[in-house]
Amino acid sequence: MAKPHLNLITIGHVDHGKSTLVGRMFYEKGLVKEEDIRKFEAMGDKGKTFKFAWVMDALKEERERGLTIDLAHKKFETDKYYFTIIDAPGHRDFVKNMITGASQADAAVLVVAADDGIMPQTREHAALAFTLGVGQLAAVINKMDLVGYKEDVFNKLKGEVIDLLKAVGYRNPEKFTFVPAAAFHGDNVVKASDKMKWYTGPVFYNALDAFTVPPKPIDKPLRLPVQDVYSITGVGTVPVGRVETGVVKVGDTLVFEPAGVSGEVKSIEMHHESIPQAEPGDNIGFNVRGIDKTAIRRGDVAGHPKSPPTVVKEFTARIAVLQHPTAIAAGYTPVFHAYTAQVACTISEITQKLDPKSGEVIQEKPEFIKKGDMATIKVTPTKPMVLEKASELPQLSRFAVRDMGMTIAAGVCVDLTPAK
Amino acid sequence: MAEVAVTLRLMPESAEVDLSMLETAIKERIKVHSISREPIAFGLEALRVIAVVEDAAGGTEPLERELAGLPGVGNVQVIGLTRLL
Repeated sequence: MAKPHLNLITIGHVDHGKSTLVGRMFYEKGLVKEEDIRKFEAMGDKGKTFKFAWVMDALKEERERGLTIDLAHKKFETDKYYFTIIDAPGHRDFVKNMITGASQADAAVLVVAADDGIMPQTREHAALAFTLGVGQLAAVINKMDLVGYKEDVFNKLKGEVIDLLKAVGYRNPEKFTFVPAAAFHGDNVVKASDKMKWYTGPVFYNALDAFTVPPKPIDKPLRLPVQDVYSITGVGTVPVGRVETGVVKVGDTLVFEPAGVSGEVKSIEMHHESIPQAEPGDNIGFNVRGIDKTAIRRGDVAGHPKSPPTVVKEFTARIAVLQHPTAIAAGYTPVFHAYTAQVACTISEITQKLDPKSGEVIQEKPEFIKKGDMATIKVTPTKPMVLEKASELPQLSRFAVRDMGMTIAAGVCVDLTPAK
Repeated sequence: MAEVAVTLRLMPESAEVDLSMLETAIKERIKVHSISREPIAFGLEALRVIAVVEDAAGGTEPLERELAGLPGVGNVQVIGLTRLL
């Protein structure tokens, strides 16, 4: 039987050794090409010292020649799984893409350097992983060589990371695996380190096999955001999109919100093949009878009439401010990007400012919030928009906030007032 | 800082758009790593474009705008994103 596939997102500060960790694992598991290793071995003793760095450079060179780029070095197998790595970019503007479109991550690896500790990017990426709904995580406390492989340094930082994960919303993060490692030297990456005998948990590579395949949300109400709508000769109106939750079958009646129109699904196709039903993750086109192409558009969401998509009048959100040149106050109206929708929304009230280190309320009704702050806000869309509560349908609760060509915040809808 | 590989799905305006011409137009306008066809449904095909941007440059908006502005493009969606080494 084929191994199950998991998308693994690697997060953390760019200099804390995410690439080194993955590169080291590739190298030790023999995933680096033989010819590259031979070239290195021809370098003799000097080569040995730089063995690992050299391998990394070779990969970089190869990529620069445009041969393989992402694919070859972003996929690997463990005993249990077939992994694809998504390495979270450092720049905050990419957060919008991670939230609205990039493939769903099933598990996260958070890398924190032992000598540097938690940095603002560590916090942002942890919050991003939670916002993306990545429920399982392994934390690697890297560069243990720089702190003398000391257990107390590891335990202290582990405690800080647990607090951070709690603050961004994770429950019981003490259950996650925490691995002390020195990726550059290979300690606890694939082989257990003899310098950290005090650590009895799994090495990084084995920690990956402790992840599980998250169940597809097929038992949830159907939510199918429309990416685009076509009128195809001989077929009719064909909306195209990805099923986020639930199941859609041929013969179902669907309602599109906020357009408020409904029609019957006559046929569904995926990769040009006719299918009787579609599940979460499926990119489909489907023919609906009774709806004109002009009646629905990108940003509408299809669902079943008995549990239709929720059009919000107002919603409460928890946000993290990633960047803003000045400050955000009530009355501010940036564009909210959620699934395929883009709607200008007014922040009507900043309800609470939260401590990014603990998640606790530090100020009620602050006049403004700025970069680095976490807050609870009330939001009013300037036109009808579908959004769902994180506790019910997290897939349609997350959003990125953009203004001035920047991603200024990311968040989730925690409560809402329906429009009808 | 590193580079980021961005995978974009370009949906044509209609099923009648000549995707070969669109591919040529894309290659003239932006530096791409690869372009492939992705069958969607009912004869409709999307173009899957992999482009590389600087992480430090921040975001995919200029790239998305450039592609969305090409004649025949219905919409552009970033479907994959990963930092390279």
